[in-house]
Amino acid sequence: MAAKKRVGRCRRGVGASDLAQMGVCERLVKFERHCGRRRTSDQLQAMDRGRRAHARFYLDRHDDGRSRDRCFVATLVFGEAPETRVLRRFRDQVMRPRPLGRGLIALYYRSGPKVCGFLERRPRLRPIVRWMLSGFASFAARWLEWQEHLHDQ
Amino acid sequence: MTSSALVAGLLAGICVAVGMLWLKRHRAGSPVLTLPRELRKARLLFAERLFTAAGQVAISARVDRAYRVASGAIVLLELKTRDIDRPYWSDVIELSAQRAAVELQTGEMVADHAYVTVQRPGGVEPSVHRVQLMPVSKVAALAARREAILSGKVSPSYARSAGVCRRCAFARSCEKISGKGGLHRTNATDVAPNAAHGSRPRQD
Repeated sequence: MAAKKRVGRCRRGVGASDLAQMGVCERLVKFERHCGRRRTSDQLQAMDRGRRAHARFYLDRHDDGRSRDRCFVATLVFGEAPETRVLRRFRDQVMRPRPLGRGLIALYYRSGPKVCGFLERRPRLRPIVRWMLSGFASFAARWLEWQEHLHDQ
Repeated sequence: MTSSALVAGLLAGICVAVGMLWLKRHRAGSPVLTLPRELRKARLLFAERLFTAAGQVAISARVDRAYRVASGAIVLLELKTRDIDRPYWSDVIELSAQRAAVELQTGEMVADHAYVTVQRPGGVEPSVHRVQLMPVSKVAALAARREAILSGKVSPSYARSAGVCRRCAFARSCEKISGKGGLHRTNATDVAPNAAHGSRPRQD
């Protein structure tokens, strides 16, 4: 996506990055019009780095600290279904009170948007993930039931 | 619990553990961006969205991110990867052009400031810089100047920064054409007075 932005971006009017080049060197604008684009190897490397950074930036677009209550992958594959609620309860009641659980939650919230981005681009994988998560959700439901049973006793 | 559910749960656990380990490794070189205070409670409106507008200025721009802030305005955020942690004049021009395109296409108000996030190599946490944008009239004037340069009506200025010239793929041709190696001779421009890649824009 970022690549589209950098290379020959517009047919209608001037592109923002083409115009920005006026702030670098006006002579370069004219050279590129007459001789085509030329890049040094350092510039090509920098462009490649920029493309990768933009791809990451796009995938991380929701990871801004405001969606911490969401269960990214479960919401993506189930929507607001009973499985999502069970997984959320498992996270809050079983994982959150324990240091290891909190660590895993933190790691999950850093990586969840990436996993979602990956799954969004590969819809065929979603049924497999749904099957695995529903298994995990039923395990979590049993665990929660067992905990409640212990609590009642 | 059925055995099928147990197997699925076990597989899910293994996949999650492997995935997290892979992502932890993978993310080592890409630290998380800390948004500026103004954008932390804002709603993300667009990400990598192309805007085109024809009007005062025919322009197209791909916006990295645009947020709706509490005041109702749209605030733009642009990612740059470079070694030097500062915004350049070219960033201001690019964001101003994006602002013009978004405003003209959507009819919504875009804030006259924006943010440039600079990501440096080596896994350093990206920094965010606030920049003041140019009005649409100046963007239009700059686009007109560009057209005038390309059609040969106006002679182009040189980059002020020696670093830009050193890294330029056209440096040799440029010296040949100027005839005196005068890479830093500049022509005055009323549109972009500090029109050099290395020049620092006004920041608030």
